[in-house]
Amino acid sequence: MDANRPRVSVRRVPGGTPGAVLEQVLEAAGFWQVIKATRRAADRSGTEFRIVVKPDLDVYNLAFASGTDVDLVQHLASLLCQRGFDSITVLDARNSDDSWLLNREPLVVADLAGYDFADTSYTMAGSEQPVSAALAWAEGDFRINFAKNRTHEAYVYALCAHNLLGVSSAEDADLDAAGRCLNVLRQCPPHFNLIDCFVSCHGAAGERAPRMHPTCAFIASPDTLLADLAGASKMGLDPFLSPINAKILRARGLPEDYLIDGDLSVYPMWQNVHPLVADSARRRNAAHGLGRVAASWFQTVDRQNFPFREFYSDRINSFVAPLLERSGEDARAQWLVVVLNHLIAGVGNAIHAQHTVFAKGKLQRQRKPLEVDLSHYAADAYTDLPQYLAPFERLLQDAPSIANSVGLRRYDDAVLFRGNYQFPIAYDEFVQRVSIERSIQYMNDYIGGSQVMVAADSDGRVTMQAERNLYLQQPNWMVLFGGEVIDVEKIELIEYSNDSRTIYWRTVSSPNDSAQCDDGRVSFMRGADGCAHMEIFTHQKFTLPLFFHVAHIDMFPGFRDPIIERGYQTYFDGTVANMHAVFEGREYRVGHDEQRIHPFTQNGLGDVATYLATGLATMSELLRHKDDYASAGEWFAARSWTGTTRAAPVHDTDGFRHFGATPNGSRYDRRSNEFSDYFSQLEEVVTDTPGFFAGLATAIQRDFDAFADTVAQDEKS
Amino acid sequence: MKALVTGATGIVGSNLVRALLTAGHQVRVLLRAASDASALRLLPIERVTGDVLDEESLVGVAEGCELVFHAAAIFAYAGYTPEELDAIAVGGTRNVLAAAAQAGVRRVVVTSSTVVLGSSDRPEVRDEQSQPDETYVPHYTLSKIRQEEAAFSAGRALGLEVVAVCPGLTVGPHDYRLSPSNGSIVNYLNDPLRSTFPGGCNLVAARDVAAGHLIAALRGDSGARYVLGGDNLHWQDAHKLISELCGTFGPALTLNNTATYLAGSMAETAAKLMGRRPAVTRDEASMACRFYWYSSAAITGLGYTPAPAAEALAEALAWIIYRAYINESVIDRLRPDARVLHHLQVMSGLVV
Repeated sequence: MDANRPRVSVRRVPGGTPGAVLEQVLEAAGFWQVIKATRRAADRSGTEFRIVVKPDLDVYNLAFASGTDVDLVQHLASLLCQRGFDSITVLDARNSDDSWLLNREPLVVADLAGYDFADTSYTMAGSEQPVSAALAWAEGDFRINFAKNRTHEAYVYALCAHNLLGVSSAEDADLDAAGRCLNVLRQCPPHFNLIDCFVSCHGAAGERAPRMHPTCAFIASPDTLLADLAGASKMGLDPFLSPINAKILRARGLPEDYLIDGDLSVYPMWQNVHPLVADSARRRNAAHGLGRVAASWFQTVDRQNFPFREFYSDRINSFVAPLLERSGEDARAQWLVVVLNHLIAGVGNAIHAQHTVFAKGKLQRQRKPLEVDLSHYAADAYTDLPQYLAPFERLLQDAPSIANSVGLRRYDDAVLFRGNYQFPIAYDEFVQRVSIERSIQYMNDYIGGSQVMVAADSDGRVTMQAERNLYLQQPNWMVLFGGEVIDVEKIELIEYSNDSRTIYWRTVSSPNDSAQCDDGRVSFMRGADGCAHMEIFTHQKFTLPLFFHVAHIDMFPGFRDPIIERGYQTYFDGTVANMHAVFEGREYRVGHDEQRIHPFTQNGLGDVATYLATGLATMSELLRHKDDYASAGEWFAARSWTGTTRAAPVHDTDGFRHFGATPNGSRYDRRSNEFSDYFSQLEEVVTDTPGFFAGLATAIQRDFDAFADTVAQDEKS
Repeated sequence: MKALVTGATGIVGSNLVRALLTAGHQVRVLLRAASDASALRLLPIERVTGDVLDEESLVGVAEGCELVFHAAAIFAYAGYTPEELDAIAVGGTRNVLAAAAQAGVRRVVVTSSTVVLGSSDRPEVRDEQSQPDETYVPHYTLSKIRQEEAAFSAGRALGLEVVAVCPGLTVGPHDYRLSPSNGSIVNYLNDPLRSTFPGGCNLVAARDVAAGHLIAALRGDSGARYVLGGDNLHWQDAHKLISELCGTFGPALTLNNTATYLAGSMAETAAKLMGRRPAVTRDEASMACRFYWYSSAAITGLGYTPAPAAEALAEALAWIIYRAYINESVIDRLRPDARVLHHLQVMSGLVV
């Protein structure tokens, strides 16, 4: 009876041989029964029955067993061959971004890791393109997910669910890691999951600086979450500590009536990632533009096999990574990691804030799929929207206008807003070019999302739909206080008549809890003069950043109300301007759609990030030579005198200008030259420091004088 | 009457050329070989090539001219060393005056600036007799002070009539290089916080400055200086006026001396590191916190009637929008006043 229950088997045999323990766990978990049953169900013979194995090959240092042991994968292939399963493909794709290193093509990593390409028991397949790896995985008749037992700096642990990142579809590239893994599990789940725990990688630094630990065990299960549950338990962890597993567990849950076969006691001497480190690493990775770059600065890397692509990263990493790799044993190193992570996250957030407030064009537009399950909403959930909104609209009817036909009122901490605008455009022409079903996307500071049609009328016009909308923080400067992008999922109803079109919406979820409600209506109506008239009504309550909760902004209406009024005025003006732009065929959206690959590989690192990298590289060089200041000075001087990269143009007698060729230096030489240029600009700024402070002192003095004047005048009066 | 104009591609020079033509005078302009003469396109003028820094290139350029308007200068608070500023202001002025004397020109009108009259830390109005008494004077201001001194002493030595005119914050059209004056409007509109400053300015339309040059040339006293100003405004009021004319919000935030200085410092440092021209400098930031208020009473008695600040700003704003100097996202959100729209239509050729 137990044979039919979903199970996870754990086998720990101290002193055993890896191959033998693997065989034991396969037997115990019913691997052979599962694969035979799958072949029978597929009705395929040995050679036609394609088996794909996805090992974990996120290896940065070949000296450490941070990936699935190659001998174990080959042993598994041999076992399969012996039982007549001879169409085996070992599939490799990256689970994490490593484009900052050279030699990271999957087959090259596999070759360096020791996979035997001449071995006839399996074939190797690997692709840098996720689409190829995902396709090969999906087409497999039997999919084996062979993960490594390891801790992870940001995800706390990285086991079977995490290993599926490497086979996620390119279509899911916009999702977060958890969403990508979840989709793999939904669309093409592994038939069997194995965790190589014979020699594990533990440590407070996770994959950043892995440490080998002989745990002499294997975990096997047909269910990915069950395997990870056992794996996390053996580490002494709550399985929900990994954001990936937490999301999948909440979405799918564990199988019913499962069986745990084996001992779940914690591995002796096991060391996990400290929650402070994990939290700071996640914040660092999320830092705008800098997260991925910073990860490359901290990672312990086998430089012989995987040289750095980029000059700055190489200089910084060679100094920083050795300092931080002992964060498990050295409390100072651990705190340094936490501080640096928070610092980088802070800089990243500052860059993001600067872009949000001053340079919206630099923001990347986001394509976020709907996360809400639309099957939970019947047709009446859509058709009831006008009735739902009516009482709120009634509350606003008598509200005074603040300006330009704009009115608002506060009700139960939410803001009810109304705006009217007359377009100097004929109604029929207007509605032809400005779609009512997209009107929410025309609103001010829309930065992305997605739209799903639910129902259409006989003319093919959308009547019900759902949307996920992302807007920049409102007002934009909320970002300076830690405000989040407004991310809301809505169900919508659209009504059409000869003289009007109306869309009603109601927010059903906010994935980042940025809004408690964001409901409303937009109507396009034919005015008495035949022109298009627009009416917007909204009922919104956005989550304020912590600062405003602490400051208790509601206690200061004199400060709060002008902010709200200004915010809504800007929102309405922007929305009207966007609709004009849509009508005229101009771009109305903020941000850009460029897909930035890794900044260093494309030489597209933003100015601020470049200067930060330059500054850090400078510091690294100085500190590297801290015992020898003379050589540090020499190093800088040598770079400061490197000269320009191109000779000055020369005029010939005919008046033509001849430009000198750019010297054929290596990428590192060119970077080194650029570095010295930045350094001299930096030097110029530093030289000017006394002047800056003199001016600052004068400015402060003037403020004091002005203050003294005010006090004197007050006393006089 | 025939007049030579130097610096004719700048905001003052190009408007002066138009004023001279409108008044029926013949105009000759001195252009450097590499000058961008967009501001003079299609104008019926005589163009001669020369450089105020190259004495030889000026021989004969003023032949046949009764008047010389010397408007050539560097108007910038960043990107030039004090030596470069002085070379044009002092050396250039001496060269032009020498060429004028050689050609028998009667009078030279030198475009100076109100900054030579100093500024106050309180809302006080200064006039032609005022002297700068600040503890720190920007390099640009110093160069203009030295220019005036050089002009009057060279005039005396060469027996030339020299009149100096001192325009206030000159805003208006035909400013193809975006001078710091029009630039201050652009900075305000591009600033998402719509910051304003505690000081004040004297705002004048470029066309009034041009008219003032003509009045000084024809009716001014030799050896005198005249303020060519307009309305004295607090920056807060000037910015409010700009917002009203553009149908947008602001000013939203009044910075104090320290905050203004820090903002200017950050902009300057960032620009320096990125190898760009700063949108605003520490010098400009410091100046924005002082009062540059002046009286044009002296030249008003000669017939100078400047337009109100709103009119000057309306035309300047139209130019700024027409030339798309403001960020596109900001332009999209402006709902310009009828006065601005009228000037925009004129510039677009929709209205004569």
